[in-house]
Amino acid sequence: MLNNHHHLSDTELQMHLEGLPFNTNQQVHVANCPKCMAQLQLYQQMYIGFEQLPAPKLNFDLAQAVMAKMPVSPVAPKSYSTLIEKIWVIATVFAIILPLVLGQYFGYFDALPQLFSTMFSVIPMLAAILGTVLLFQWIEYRFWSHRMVKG
Amino acid sequence: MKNIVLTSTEERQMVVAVLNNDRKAILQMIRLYERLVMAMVFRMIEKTADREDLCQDVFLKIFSYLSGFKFESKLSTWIAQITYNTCLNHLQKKKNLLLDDVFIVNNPEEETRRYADTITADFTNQTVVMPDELLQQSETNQHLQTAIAQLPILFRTLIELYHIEEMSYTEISQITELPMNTVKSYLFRARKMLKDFLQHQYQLVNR
Ligand SMILES: [Zn+2]
Repeated sequence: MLNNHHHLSDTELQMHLEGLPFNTNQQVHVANCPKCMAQLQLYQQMYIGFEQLPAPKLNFDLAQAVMAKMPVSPVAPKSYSTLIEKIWVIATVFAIILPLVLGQYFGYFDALPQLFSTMFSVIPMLAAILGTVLLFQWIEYRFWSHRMVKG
Repeated sequence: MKNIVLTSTEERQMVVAVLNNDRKAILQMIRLYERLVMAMVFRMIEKTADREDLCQDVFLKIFSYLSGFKFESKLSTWIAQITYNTCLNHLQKKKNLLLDDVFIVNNPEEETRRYADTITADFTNQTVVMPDELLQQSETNQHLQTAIAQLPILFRTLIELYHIEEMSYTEISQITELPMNTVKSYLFRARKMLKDFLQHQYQLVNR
């Protein structure tokens, strides 16, 4: 005789396949009930089947087809970012060294305190430098870096 | 995700390289995710010509939206989301329904009731399939393919994502924008329908 008169529901059977172990009653029932055993085996075969389904196939090479449709060349050259980095480094070095060398040569250092003596002369200069940097970065961001994915 | 084992750092490096238009990285990314995209498109779309177009469209979309990918989910989840939405748009244009009208219930209570009916339904009055009458696994696999193809489109997609692509409920919920409980209950119903179909096949064979 069966311990448990109730057949297992689909929920219980599926929960078991999803990793929830049967309790003792359920275990005994399934072992003794051909009906429940058959249902369980159907589910088991289904789960095994999921792993053995054939992979989808196209009759052409998807990757090559997509590559052919991609925008061929972005506006920026391949080595664009490294080129820009180099230009920035060289420009910075020049910006520091050149005035020093020229200052030595032309002897204009004596005039510097006078030049920067008032805040009014310094602020516009700093603003101009900062503005130039921001403008350049905006141009780079807007027109170069993200061009490929938008186009 | 099945077959795709990239660490988040590798994923990030690949995305950056693709955004810098590194052709090798682009090719690598397509190769890595083509199986997932194809699997989803094939489950959701039936016509061969549409499948071919959509697989390509999905990748072109992926690359054009990639700069907006914020690494808030796995790349595979984001790609699956784009695939799902692309197929959904296509189906809506063709006026195909994700769920057959049998399943379209505007009233959530009714939906819950129907689901409860499905999953608690006993099989006592169904013809018994005896274990020794079960088919070979290879035969089951064939029937299973037919059975999956007969499910409503949404159910097929969920079976694909959960059982074949091995995605989590959370990921599937993000992809389909369905509440997690709905994903779970639809999966239960889909499996029950598949089992009933398989059972019917065995009965035909053993008649
Ligand atoms: Zn039983």
